[in-house]
Amino acid sequence: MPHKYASVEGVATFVHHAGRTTLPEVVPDLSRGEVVLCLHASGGNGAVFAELLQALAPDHSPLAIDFPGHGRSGGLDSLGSIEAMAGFAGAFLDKWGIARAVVLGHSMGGAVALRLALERPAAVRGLVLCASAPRFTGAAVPAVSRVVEGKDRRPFFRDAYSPKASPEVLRRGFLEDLKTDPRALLGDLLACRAFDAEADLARIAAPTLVVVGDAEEPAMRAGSERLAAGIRGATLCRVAAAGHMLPLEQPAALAGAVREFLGTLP
Amino acid sequence: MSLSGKVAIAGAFEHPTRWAPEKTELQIMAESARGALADCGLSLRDVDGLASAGISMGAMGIVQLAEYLNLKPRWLDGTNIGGSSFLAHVSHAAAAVHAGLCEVALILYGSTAASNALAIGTGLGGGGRDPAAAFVGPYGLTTVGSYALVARRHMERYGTRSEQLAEIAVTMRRHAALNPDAKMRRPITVADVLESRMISEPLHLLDCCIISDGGGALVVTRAARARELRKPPVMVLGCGEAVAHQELGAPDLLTIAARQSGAQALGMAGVAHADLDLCTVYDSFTITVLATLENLGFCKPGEGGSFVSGGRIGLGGELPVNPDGGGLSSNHPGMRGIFLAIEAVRQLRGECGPRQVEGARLALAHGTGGTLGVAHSGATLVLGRD
Repeated sequence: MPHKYASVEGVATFVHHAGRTTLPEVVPDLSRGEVVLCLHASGGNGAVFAELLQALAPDHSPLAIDFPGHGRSGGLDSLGSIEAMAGFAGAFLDKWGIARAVVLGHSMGGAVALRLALERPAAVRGLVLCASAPRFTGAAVPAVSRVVEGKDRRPFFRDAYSPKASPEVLRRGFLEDLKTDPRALLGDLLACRAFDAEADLARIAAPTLVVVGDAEEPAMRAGSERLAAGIRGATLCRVAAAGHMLPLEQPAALAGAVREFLGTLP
Repeated sequence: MSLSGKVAIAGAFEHPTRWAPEKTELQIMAESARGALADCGLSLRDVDGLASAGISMGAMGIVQLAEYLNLKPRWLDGTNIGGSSFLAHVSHAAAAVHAGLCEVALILYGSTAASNALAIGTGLGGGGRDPAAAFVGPYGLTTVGSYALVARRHMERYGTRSEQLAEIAVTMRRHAALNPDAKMRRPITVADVLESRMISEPLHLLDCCIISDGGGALVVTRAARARELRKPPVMVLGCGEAVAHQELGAPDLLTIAARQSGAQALGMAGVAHADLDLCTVYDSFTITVLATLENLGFCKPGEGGSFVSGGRIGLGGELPVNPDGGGLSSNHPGMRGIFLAIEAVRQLRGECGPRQVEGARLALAHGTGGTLGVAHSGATLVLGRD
């Protein structure tokens, strides 16, 4: 995929896009269909959306950013709170002169998208919340804390994938994980643990699509269902043979659901 | 005829980045060059000598670097003896400046070791074509494995304990907490080091340096010229280089190149150990610091364990070592020699804020290149205020 750097809040921010390559500081063409901004999960990066970006590119202008400390962006640590991440995503939209975008968030990215929709409703034309929840359990915090303290090897979270996930998908997920320092992952997990939007769902006005895999772990699946029930007019789409890493596991199904959703936007 | 005191380091700059996936190594070097030249008030037009080394620089790397900077130097040095190269570059540049081969020499390093995910310590040491790598490599000896052998030997012969090595890591982290640019700043304890996972026995994860991106630059010129520039000059008082190797198959793991290069540098400077206010030494692993201090003669062979304990090598101690936090905590972009000189220069100028060694007048910088336990190089500088 084409990519470039944008300077956002002083951090060299890696942007995955689907337009033509442009000179530094020149924003690529974003005139096709809807601008779709994809936000990655804890410890992840925008490369997990590669297939989604490719599938949307003919009719829309999809983008994904790597948050500071993640993937190929600068910075060493997580921004540390969902609020700061939402502020950062908003600052990116401003930097590139994007007035309104459909915001797609995977897991933690979904929390960031929700927060952005609450803080800046005018900037969010629609929401896609993929494998996400209004609140997170923080179950991985102790294991990742031990990694950061140097006591354990970095784990590979096999449970985040459907039992049916192919070795190629697992391998890609593993390699993408390696691009981010475990300290940034821990900062993300702590930010997620401190996040709670249960009481705010009724205030979301943006059209919303919730996507969840059939092999998602129960707490997260229940969270997705609460998102769909709590946000006015939201639709829930269930994807077969997908766990928490749905964008990597079933990119075609996700792209199909997103395209359909984009077609319904007023 | 001695070089001592005739040549100075006039400019120094450490690139603040520790993670720069958006930059190339050449970019980091160019930004560092600009930093060091601005530091002393010179411009690229004044530079007529260029030295550099790097992990990914090819045989013509120094030529490509000159092209990237649009420089036409009349003196070049692409010597690569591992992480110590940049301290050797300072002595080579001092000789060249003194001999009139050039007037202003620029020494550069830049690397994206971390964002390129270079596995330095767990890779094989040395190039595949040299005898050590060709005959030792196939049996699986890694860089960290070879340092572990040195540490184990020291423990067996002298009773050195893991707790003593851990004190070095703890001290470096304490220093790093005072350095806003350091990559790892959260304090650690001896217990943290001992509980961190074993990488190559007896070296734990926290006995090993970090891997970062980064770079730096030094400007070397005549002492008289340096005195006219923006910052107080730091004099090159002594320098030395050395190699240590397999000794035809009977190596002494605990005698390292620092023994020879350190004695030469101190002799040339006419300086005794007790005169030194601080020391910057290569700290690829905790054992590197212990072995280096012993071989430089700060203590007797075998006394390193107790020498590094009790706060002696910490700020406020008898011999502060690596006040910036070193490679164990601040930065280690593959090769670290240039930062040893940069930190010594900044300390001698009194620019170091909360990590300043009060009234520092004399410093020793020692770099190790290659791998202790197999073939390696050492380069030592003694630097002092004008």
